[in-house]
Amino acid sequence: YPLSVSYQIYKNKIIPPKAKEQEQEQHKMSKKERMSATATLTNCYTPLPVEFKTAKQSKELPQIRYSGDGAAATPRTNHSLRRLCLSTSILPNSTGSALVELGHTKVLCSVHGPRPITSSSLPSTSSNSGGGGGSHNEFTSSGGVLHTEVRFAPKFGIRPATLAHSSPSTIDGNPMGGGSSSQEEEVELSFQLQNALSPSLNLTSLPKCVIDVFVVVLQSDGNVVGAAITAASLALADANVVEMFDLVCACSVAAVPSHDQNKEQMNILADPTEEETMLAMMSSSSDKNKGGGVVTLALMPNWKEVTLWNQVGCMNATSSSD
Amino acid sequence: AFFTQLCAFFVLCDFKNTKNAIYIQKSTPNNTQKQAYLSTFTNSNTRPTGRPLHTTRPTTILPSILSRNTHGSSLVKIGNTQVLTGITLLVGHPGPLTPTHGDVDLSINLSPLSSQDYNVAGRLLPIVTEGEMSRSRTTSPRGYVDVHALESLVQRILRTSSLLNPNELCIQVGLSAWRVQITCMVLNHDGNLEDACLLGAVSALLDLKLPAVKIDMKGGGNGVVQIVSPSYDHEEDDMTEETKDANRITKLTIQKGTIPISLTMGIYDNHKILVDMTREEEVVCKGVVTVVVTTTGEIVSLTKCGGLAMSPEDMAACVHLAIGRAKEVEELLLSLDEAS
Repeated sequence: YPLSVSYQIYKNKIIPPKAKEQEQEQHKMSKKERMSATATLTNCYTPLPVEFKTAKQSKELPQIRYSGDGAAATPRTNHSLRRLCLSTSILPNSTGSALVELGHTKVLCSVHGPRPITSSSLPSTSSNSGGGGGSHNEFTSSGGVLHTEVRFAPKFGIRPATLAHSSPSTIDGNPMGGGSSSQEEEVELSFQLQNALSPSLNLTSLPKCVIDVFVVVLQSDGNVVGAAITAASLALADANVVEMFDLVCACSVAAVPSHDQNKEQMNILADPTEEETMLAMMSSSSDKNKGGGVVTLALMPNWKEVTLWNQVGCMNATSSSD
Repeated sequence: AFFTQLCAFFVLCDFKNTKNAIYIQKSTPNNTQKQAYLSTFTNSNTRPTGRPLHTTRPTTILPSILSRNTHGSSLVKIGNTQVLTGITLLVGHPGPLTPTHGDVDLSINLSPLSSQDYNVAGRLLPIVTEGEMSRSRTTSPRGYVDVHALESLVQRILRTSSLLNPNELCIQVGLSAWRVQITCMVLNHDGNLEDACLLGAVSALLDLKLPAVKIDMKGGGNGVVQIVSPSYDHEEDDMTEETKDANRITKLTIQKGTIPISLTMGIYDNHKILVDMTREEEVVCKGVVTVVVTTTGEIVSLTKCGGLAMSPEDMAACVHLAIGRAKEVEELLLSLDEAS
C-alpha cells in the first residue's frame, strides 16, 4: 500500500472499543509511574542494622543457640551442629556436584574433569596464580593436578551488612570497598580447600590431567570452611572420576571467653554462626588476657588422619586441645 | 609441537598402568552433524527428548531460598536450566526530577557451575579444538551467551514494564530511596537463559520484603537510614519498641495483569518454531525470537535475533504462544504469592 492509505487503515483499526476504556485508564495512570531509563540513585550505601543501645547485648552471646534454618528453631547445645542437609548430583552439566547446608550456611560445589593439560600450563614451583582465588599444587613428576577455586556469591554470599562493617567506608554500595577483604578470604579458602582435599585423592592415576573443583558459597553464616570441604569431597565422590582414599569431613569450632565468674573458662562452640565467629575474633584481638579464636579441623574419618588443622586467634593450650 | 606432545601422551598412556590411565578426548560432533541429528526429529514434529515442538519444559519456582543474606530470593528451574536470584538492598539519593522514585539494578553471573565453557570470572574459555566447533559459536545467535546483552535485556524489561511502581521504593521524599540490586546466578546452563533469568528476577521481586527503617539523625545532614532487623532465630528478653516495629515489613504491590513473562523460541528449518530450546538446540537454530507479554495481552518486548527472514504469520504465531505461556506462568507465580 502507499504510505498514506496504509496509515489510514492503521489509524482506523486502533480505535479501542468502549468496554476497554477503564482498563486503558488504569494503564495510563501506571504509565506516569514507570521508571525512566535514566533516573538512577546517587551515593548509594548499604543500610546497616540498628545498633542496640545496651552494650551488654552486643558483646555477649545470646543465651540460647539455635539450630536450623528459619523460624522453627530448636535450641542446641554448645557441642552440636546445626541442621545439616546434603544433596548430590544436582547440577546436570557438571561431572559431579554437591550442596551442603549447615543451618543458614549454604555451599554448592561442582567438579569438572579430568581434563588434559599440556605440560606448559602445568604449574611449576615458581607459578603465579594470577588474580583471584586459584591455587595450584607444586609440580611433581607424576600425577594429576587438583585445581580448587572458592567464590562467594556476588553481592549476597556474605551478608552486605557484614561486608560493610569490615570495609573502611560504608558509602558506595559498590562492593569494591568490601571486595578486597572478601577476595582475600576467597584466596585463603581456596588454599585451605586444596590442602584438605589433596591427601584424600589418588592423583597418580591421572597423569597430565587437571580436576577442577569450584565451590560457590551461596550464603555464609559461619563454618564456611567446614561446609566447603565437605561439599567438595562429596562432589568428588559423586563425580567418580578419581580414586579417593576417603571422604574428608571438616568443621570449625569457636572459643569465646565466657562472662562467668570463673575467669579461666572459655565457651567452646561447635559449628559457630557468623555472629559467634565474629565475637571470637573480636575478643581475640581486643582482650589479650582471655583470648579467643576459631579452630578448623578437617579429617578423613576411616583413616583417622587429619588433613587440615588451622587456628586463628590466640588461646591457651587447654582451650585449644578442647 | 602439539603433534609430538599428542604422540607423547599416547605413549604415556600405553606404557603406564593402562587400567587406570584415562585419555579424555572431546569428540563433540560438528555443526552439520548436529543439524542432521536434530532434523531427523523435527521432521516428525518432535524433539530428541520426545517433547513436542510447542511445549516448554517443566518449570519450578522455589521462593525465599536465601532468607538470611537477601531480602528476597528464588530458585527457578526450567528443565535443567537453574538460575538462583537474590535481592540485596541499598539506599541512595534520588534524582531531582523524580524525588520519590527508587531504582532497580540487575546483574547476571556465569561461572564454571553453569557449564564447562566458562571460567571463574564468567568469561568464555577459548576452545582448543578444530575450527568447526568454534564456528558454531559465531554463526548461531545463541552460540555463546553474551552476558551484558542478557543483563541489558532483562533490566530493560523490568524497568519499562509496569510491574513495579517506583514510588513504593521511597523512604524519605527527595532524600532517600531503595535501590534494589538483583543478582542472577546461573547454576546450570541448559538453554533458554532469558526466560529463566527474567522469571527469577520477577519471582524474587514478588518475594521481596522491604524492611522497616529507622532514620538516624546523629550524623547530621539528611540522616542515615538504618534497618530495624526483625528478631529471627532468637528472642530477646527486653524487646524495645523499635524491635516491635521490626515486624512491619512491606512487600511490593504487584497487580495481576502486569507481570512480564517471556518466551524464547528458535526458528529452525525456516518454519519450525522450537519453543524453549535446550543448549544443544540453541546452538543450531539460526534465528531466535523472544517475546515478553503480560496476561492482559500487552507486549512488553519483542526481540528477534539472527539473520533469518520471518513472515508476519510466524511472528503472530510466536506472540500467541507467548500469551499462552504467560497465562500458565502467572498462575504459578500468584499461587506462590498466596501461599507465602
